[in-house]
Amino acid sequence: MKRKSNKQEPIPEPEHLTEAERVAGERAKLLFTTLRNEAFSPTEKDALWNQVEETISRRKQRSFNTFWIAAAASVTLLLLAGVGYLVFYEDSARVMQDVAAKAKEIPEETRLILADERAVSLRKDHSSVVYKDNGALIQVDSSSTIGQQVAGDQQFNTLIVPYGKRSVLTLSDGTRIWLNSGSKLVYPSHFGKGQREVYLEGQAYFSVTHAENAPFYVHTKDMEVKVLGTEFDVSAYDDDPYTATVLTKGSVELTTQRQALFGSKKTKITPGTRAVFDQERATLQTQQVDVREYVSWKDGYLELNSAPLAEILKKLSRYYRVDIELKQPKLAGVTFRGSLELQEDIRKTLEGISLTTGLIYKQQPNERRYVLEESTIKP
Amino acid sequence: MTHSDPDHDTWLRFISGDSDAFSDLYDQYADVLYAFGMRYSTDRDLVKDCIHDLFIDLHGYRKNLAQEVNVKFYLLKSLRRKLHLAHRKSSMLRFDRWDTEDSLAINAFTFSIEQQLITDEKEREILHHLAVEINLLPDRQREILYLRFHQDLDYDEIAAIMQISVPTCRTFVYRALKELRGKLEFGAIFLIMCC
Repeated sequence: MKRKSNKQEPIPEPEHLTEAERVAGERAKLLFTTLRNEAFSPTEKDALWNQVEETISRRKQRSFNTFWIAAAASVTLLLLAGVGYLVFYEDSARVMQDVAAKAKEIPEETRLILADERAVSLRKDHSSVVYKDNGALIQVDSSSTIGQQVAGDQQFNTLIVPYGKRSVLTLSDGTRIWLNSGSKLVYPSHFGKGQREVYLEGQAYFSVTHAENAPFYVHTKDMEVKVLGTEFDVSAYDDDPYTATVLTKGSVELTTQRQALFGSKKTKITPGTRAVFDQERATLQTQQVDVREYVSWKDGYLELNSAPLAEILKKLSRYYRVDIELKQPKLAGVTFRGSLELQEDIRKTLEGISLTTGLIYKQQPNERRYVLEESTIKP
Repeated sequence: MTHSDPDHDTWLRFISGDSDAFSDLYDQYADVLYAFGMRYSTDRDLVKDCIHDLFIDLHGYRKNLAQEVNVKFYLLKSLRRKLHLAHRKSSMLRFDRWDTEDSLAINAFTFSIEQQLITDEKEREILHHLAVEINLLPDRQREILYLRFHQDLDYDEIAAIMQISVPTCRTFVYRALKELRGKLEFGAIFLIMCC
């Protein structure tokens, strides 16, 4: 029996194979050289390569992001350690949110809290705060001026406007912010290069000075508004089940649930649009509206366009810090049209309502409580 | 595993971080891998996905890859593992089957016995017959024959790919050849009787 002891010998343990088996092996080997292979076209081959490259670059991007998230996390740790410095943008929204959360106590009067924890009370119902000299000087109610340290790392100021008060804030870049009653705004004591960011609870109207290279961000607990320069209103009251933005001019970009792992969404809106984020359903809806209805408060009146009475009274009680009760609950859904002047004195405003609706109001012994009811005498 | 092998040079350049070498590696092996993958599946997209994942892994782990390796063997082995995992995942989702047979089976072979290649008609008949017999062999045996005769892998490599021991691998080949021989003798007699 002949045996091949060649290295290519396909047969295992050749000593156990018979000639016939060896021949079968050779034939099988021959057959396998004729095996038809499935091939893919050069186009398919290239397409697959492009996919590979794309995936790799996407992963690189991701690991890059992971790096920055880690960096931001260490920054946050430093902040928690009481350093109070902020160098990284991504988390400044959260930092400002923390600052806002720290100012828990709602003062009787509008209060400005500086980075060094100095607190300034603003006596007027309609106060004004103007930042000058790149934030180093703060003019309060056009009467007194306060100096603050603005060198070094970013620090924050907080303006708290209780119910019944309003305030107009002018930042060092010229941006004007009308803060409505029951609002809190956290903002950097001075703006660094490239970015302008504030954090809002409550309602504010923004007139942002245009700066091509420095987008302006308004953060709220579940919506972020990004603009270059424009006018818009943001309403993010804690006791409302929604956060809304109404755009007067220009364009803004909204990001909802930025901090959610999934579901962060970007939406651009155009003037005349109101975007409402529903917290319960976590959805953002946009609709065309009469802008004045939502921003007129800053000019001292309410523009009403089939607004339900309950809605109007909610605004009034915030504006004047009063409780207004409806004696007949069915009145809540009655709607009104027209403009309602927001007088210095709530009683004058309520008189205005009474005149046009035929309802009457009564002031309770507790002077911050009012009751609105149907008049027994039909006009 | 010869070191002057240009394919092996590509491999060495690739693990040292040369990005051109990565695309060279793809160019050299994508077709082989595709043909290999299509032996186990009929789903072109699935095979492409597995090749995609394989190259992503290669790129991701390139710093930890061994230098001294038979590149083709290594790639085939990795792709087969990917196909196996994909196969198991998809069979786990199929509830119409109760058997737990989740091993990756090699498809039937299509040989092309050209007239130009084998001029002897009788020999061609025998090969045709053998082709049928090979496709009747158990999956594992057919797979070994394929890896040995078509992919030119040695027993150590085949054993590693199929996750069996080298002696088992040898036994499989031996059994396959014995079987083929037996069938072939029968076939040959049949042929002789016919002629």
